[in-house]
Amino acid sequence: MRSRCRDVHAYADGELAGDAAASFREHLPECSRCLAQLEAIFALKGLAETSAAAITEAPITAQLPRVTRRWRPRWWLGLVGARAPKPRLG
Amino acid sequence: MGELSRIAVARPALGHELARHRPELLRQARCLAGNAAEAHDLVEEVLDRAAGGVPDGNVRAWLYMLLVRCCRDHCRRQSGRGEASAESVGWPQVTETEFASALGRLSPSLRQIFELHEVYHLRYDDIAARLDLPVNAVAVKLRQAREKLQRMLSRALARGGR
Repeated sequence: MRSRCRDVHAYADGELAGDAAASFREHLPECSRCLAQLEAIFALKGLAETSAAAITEAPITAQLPRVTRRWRPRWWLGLVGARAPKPRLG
Repeated sequence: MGELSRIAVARPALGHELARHRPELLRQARCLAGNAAEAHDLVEEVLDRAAGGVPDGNVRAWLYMLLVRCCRDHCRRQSGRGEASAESVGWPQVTETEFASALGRLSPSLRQIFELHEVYHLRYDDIAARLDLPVNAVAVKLRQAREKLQRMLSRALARGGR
């Protein structure tokens, strides 16, 4: 396996930086193995996206630890909000 | 007039079907192309090739594979080489049931990373932060998940490649 071949997943996911991505694009036309791999990766992306409805019905991500918020009365939230700095959005 | 408009005028049903996939095609093309203009050109080329009609099976998977081939051809042209011939295609024949079954057989940790990336479109570093893992570990697990899915779906692929 040539060194560029190791980058196929990162390239498919848009995770390669500019020079590395350009270098991979030069490599792609001459490597049938990377082309086949890239096609497989993108086919799986397509299958995952079209199966997303079924996946999100029972997502494995439900098993992720969640930040839970305990119920508080409105006056308590106002009190905390006055003390704590407001989070900046965007 | 863009390629999609031309298709919509000539074949409204196909135009509608392709328009549904265009935003995601463009998002994926941005990962492959060097810049936004190239990504746009790649999508136009995909739509041009798809104008002849889409095959039975998973249209999104087929369009993405077409995108990869257009990208490869684009790279060939840039490096002064000619067009290459089309490859056999088996992936679009994989059904949603077969895919869901294969996904269900992945280990929870691999499935979780695969879903976060491919369904929720989180980047490696976002997944790493969320799961408290090094970014490299996310990349490795995502690759493992894909390789296992490929192995599990090999029978369906053999059927589609015939």
